[in-house]
Amino acid sequence: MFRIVLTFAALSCLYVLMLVGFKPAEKLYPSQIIKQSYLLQLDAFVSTCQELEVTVKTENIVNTRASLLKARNAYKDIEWLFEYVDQQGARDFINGAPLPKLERKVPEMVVLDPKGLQVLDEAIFADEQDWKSIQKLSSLLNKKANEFRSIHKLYPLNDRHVFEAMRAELIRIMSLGITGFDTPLSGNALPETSHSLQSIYNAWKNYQVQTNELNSDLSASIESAFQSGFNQLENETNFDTFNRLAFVTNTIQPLYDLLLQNQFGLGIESYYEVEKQGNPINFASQTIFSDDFLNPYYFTGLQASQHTNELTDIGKTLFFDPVLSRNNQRSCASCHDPKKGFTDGKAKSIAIDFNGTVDRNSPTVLNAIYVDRFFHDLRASNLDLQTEHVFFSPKEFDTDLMTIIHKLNQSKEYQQLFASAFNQEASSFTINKRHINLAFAAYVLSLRSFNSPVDQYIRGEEVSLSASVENGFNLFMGKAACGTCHFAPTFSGLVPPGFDENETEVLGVAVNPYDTPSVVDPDAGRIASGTIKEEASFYNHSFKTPTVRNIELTAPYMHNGAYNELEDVMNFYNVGGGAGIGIHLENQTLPTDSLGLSDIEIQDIIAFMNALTDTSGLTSIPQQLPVFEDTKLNNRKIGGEY
Amino acid sequence: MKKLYTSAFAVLGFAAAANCQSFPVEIDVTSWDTNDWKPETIVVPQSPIKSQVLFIGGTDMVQTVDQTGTPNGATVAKQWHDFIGFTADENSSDLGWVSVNHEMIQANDNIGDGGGMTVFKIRRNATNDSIEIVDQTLADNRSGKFFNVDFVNTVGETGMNCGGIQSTVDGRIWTAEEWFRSSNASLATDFTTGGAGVRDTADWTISSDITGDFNGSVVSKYENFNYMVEIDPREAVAVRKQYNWGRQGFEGGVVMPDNKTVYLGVDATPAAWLKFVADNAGDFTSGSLYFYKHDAATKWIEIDNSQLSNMLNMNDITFPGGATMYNRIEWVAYSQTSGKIYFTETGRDTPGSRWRDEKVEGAVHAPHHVARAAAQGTSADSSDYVDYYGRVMEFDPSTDQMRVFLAGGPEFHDTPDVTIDNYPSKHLSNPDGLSFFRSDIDGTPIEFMIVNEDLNGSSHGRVPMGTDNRTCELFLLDMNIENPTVDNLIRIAAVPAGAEVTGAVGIDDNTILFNSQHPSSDNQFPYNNSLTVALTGWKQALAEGSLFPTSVEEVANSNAFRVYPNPASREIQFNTTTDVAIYDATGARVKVARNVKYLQIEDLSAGVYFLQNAEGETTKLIIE
Repeated sequence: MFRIVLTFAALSCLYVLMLVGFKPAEKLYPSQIIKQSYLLQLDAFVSTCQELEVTVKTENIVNTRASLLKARNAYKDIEWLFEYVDQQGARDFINGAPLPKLERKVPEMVVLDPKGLQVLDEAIFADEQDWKSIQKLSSLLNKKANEFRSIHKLYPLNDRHVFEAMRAELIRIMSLGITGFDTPLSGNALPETSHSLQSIYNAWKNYQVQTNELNSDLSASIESAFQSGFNQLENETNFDTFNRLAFVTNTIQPLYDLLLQNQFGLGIESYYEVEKQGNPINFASQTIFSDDFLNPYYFTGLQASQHTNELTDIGKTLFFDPVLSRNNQRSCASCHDPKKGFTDGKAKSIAIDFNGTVDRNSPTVLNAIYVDRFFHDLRASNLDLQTEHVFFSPKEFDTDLMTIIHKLNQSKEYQQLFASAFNQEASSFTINKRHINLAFAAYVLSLRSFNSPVDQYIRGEEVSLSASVENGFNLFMGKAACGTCHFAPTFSGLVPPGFDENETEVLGVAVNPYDTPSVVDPDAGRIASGTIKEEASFYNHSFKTPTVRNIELTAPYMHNGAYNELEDVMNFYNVGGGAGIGIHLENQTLPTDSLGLSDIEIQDIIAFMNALTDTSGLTSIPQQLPVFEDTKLNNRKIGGEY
Repeated sequence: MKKLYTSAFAVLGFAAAANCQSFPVEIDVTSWDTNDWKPETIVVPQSPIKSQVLFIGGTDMVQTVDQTGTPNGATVAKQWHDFIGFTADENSSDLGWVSVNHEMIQANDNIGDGGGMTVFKIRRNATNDSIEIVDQTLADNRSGKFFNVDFVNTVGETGMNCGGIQSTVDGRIWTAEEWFRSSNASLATDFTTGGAGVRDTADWTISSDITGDFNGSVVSKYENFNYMVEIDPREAVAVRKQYNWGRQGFEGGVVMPDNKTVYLGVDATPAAWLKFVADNAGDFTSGSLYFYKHDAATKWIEIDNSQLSNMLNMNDITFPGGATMYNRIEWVAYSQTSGKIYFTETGRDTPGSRWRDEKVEGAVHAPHHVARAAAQGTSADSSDYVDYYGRVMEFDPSTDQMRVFLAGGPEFHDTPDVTIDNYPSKHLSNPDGLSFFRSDIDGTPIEFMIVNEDLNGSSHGRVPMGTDNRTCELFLLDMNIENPTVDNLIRIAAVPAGAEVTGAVGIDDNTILFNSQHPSSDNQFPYNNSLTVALTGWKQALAEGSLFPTSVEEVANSNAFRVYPNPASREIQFNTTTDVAIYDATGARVKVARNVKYLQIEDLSAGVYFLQNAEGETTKLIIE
């Protein structure tokens, strides 16, 4: 112990001396060393921003592009800690998505133009440059980088932060890095990934000696997972052919697991010993591609301690009980049939009383809880409101919550079921809104689907994937750019690594893609959601990015169900969405250029998506519905008439 | 995989590496007698302050009146609680009426479209110092506990009921309609999507007793929004929209002790500071309206408020008239101690572009913004000017002078001398709700300012760094302190995760009410809904002196590590900033905090614990 500690101290002193050039304190902890080198690298990033500000003034495109890449690479050296320290600041000013957004928490709607490296990447690598705008953006970037430098120096970095930040960076590399998400035009994704991976390796090196002393196998495994990643990045430099499945399976997932073991093994506290707030991430999960990765209870009003099988069963019963609807003929399952991946196979679901259709396509309920907001237009901020909207909609249940509560209380059996689930005396029990909400939450929360062949493969379980599926994963996460909106591992618009925000996109979907000429679907989407704070023009025709998990079962596709086949959907994307079929929306967020995918590549992507199917243990339906005193109601059909 | 994980844990768990700043996962507590309360034992008594949920949005039933086609009935209350107004009952032993705003615009057949308010009456149960909701029957025959204020049948729908006014004189209540509406389309949204707001957007014919050309005038529906609206909390009805105070995105205001003068705040950038003076005390249907211009000889410039067109287009008068511009004025309150008026200027990251046009028109920046911008090497209307943290302003009605009373922050980019070692433990960012709480300590009156945070974001050091802190906080400030700083704030409550703390108001010498708005839906019921909460027991807490951290300061010079119970908030304090770990009675680590001077332990159940500091010193901790 003594010898190794000494060696370590000597090493760390050397490291510090090399980096900082001043006499180190008597004893520096790894987190202190990491912080010192972080601040030096942050200084280096600030210098590259200064350099960029100067270079863009020359309007020399070659030098400007080189200078931007230099700044981007320098950012990737610090991204892992910068974004951990201030995710909001990073997204607002340094490396946020190149899309306009709304100013937070102000009593009016103010559109903020995108700022930072991503929008600069687009502007500088475009065919033509708007130099004035580039100069303005560069100058702001430099100013903000300096500002953050003065704030980050105060961050009281400790070991827990370091391990959480390293693991968050793994998620970022997987979902935003290798996919090319934040390098839309420069294509600098793989070199940047090397910087990102190297940055967390350098940080981890500060713990290697202790780790090795305490568990040499663990230390060796970590070293080997890092080296596997570096080897791949060194040998496979072509963005289109980089083997992302191998990278995720051999480097990202193993490190995500091993670094957690490392953290706990070193006695470093867990998130849960420090923080009281709920978080979308389950910080105790060893795996990324599993239903353990995100904390389902964060996304609902239900607590883990309340989540009993009894309550889940009541939720399931409610889901299949048409008594909730005005005409006692329609249930949630009417549009969300377990046999069809909890959709109904129709472009738009049949409305109540068979009177036309509802306005949009029925989305799957599998993994539905993993959202910040519900519905294609994000109008409901939680599951309770989501169900209320369905109850209230004149085209769906055409009733209201009070009527439903009153109705359910007419059934002694329902009252007994609820009373038992909430450990209360049945004789004096009245079902209320909260009971109904929690039962629905318990059931919907149980519909988690993360055990597909792809999940099993990445977790290192004994399953093989066909070459087509493997290639499909690589295309989806790379050349085809699907993964830059359908983020792994949910493959939906829930944005990593925070998983606390849903994206909507403007694609330019046609009313009927099989008609020519194409006419844009008139549905205005998010701008007309009724959320007065979101009536921004860039939300016109904007719709939530759904999950592609279980997509094999959930045809037809898009918010209007206009596309019958996945091939048709893929062809639509391949030609640049609406822009490629003659629909020109000024605010289309999908890149309008062609993806250049061959037919075989499209088939591979579909094969991959079809390998994301998992409904095991999720499709059972109740055997009977509770009895009502009003015997007319007792003839109702499980799941409703349609 | 799982197996390896477990074994790694077992092998490594106990032996914390010397080179990490880690506390042992377990400690040996066998040498401690858990029944023996040694002198070094820290006892954290139960706080005398009790928290009680009074009103749960989306759950409690409100009694409603006839709306078109929908008869009297009851339905679940709206959410998004904001302002709380309190009207004392002078004629019975009940405490009085509580009025709660709902900051939203939503269609509702029973309650009425738009936002709204809920009122209820409370009394104190002296036997256990709890608050009870009083059953009432109103003049319109509604009976129950919670009542929806009828706007639709009286003054027209209201929207985004945000702040308001509780008269310092007699508890009259006004609700403020924030979120300035500029078209009918922005009120009414697609009903079929389920996200409807205000469905009736036909032109509105004003029916009003206010002096001027208001009565009988016809306005577009949206022009009947964004007023201060008086209600009668006793009967749960609206009284009048205050057309003569102008149409603005109002947030706060104060009725002065003369019962004539009203100061008004607008949540906008720029915001003008407004004053109304009634002709006759207590009658606000007639009087004069002014805007503040700090650089004018008279300071107050009158607006002709008898003209509807003037009142609809206030900004066309105030800013070209040279009004002084503020950055989002929120709540306004009157201090009996100082006789001055305070308001929160909540701040906005980059206000520059928002008030540039008005400056060209002739408006002037408030002097503190000019000075701040100059210190940042820029001007107030430049996009470089940042105003992240906000502040509390003080206005002296006797001199018409304004000054910054309490600056939010700390402003890290302006204070290069801040280091980790002197990193401040308290941050005040984006103050919003503001009111006063008056009590006494052994007969000596004391007045506290209540400051509610509503964070605009988490970046730029707005929340303490190093923790996953997204929680708005509720602070008290002793008004006897001259020139207070953020360090003088006493933190009294943190609301559930994701929530904005708002509406806090002292209703008597023992009770503070506050709202927890838009909490995260993952909180446990009822904390996943908007709530009105009562904090009682203040008299005892004040008498014990447990609110004041001075006891820590007294021994701050002591070299020994000291832990102080703070009974008021179930928070322990240390005489030095340190790392600590808390172990349960079996020696298992349950909590770790780093670089802290205060530690909240209210989530730990009563029992015996052990506390270890960074130097490895262990102390027994009893939580009662």
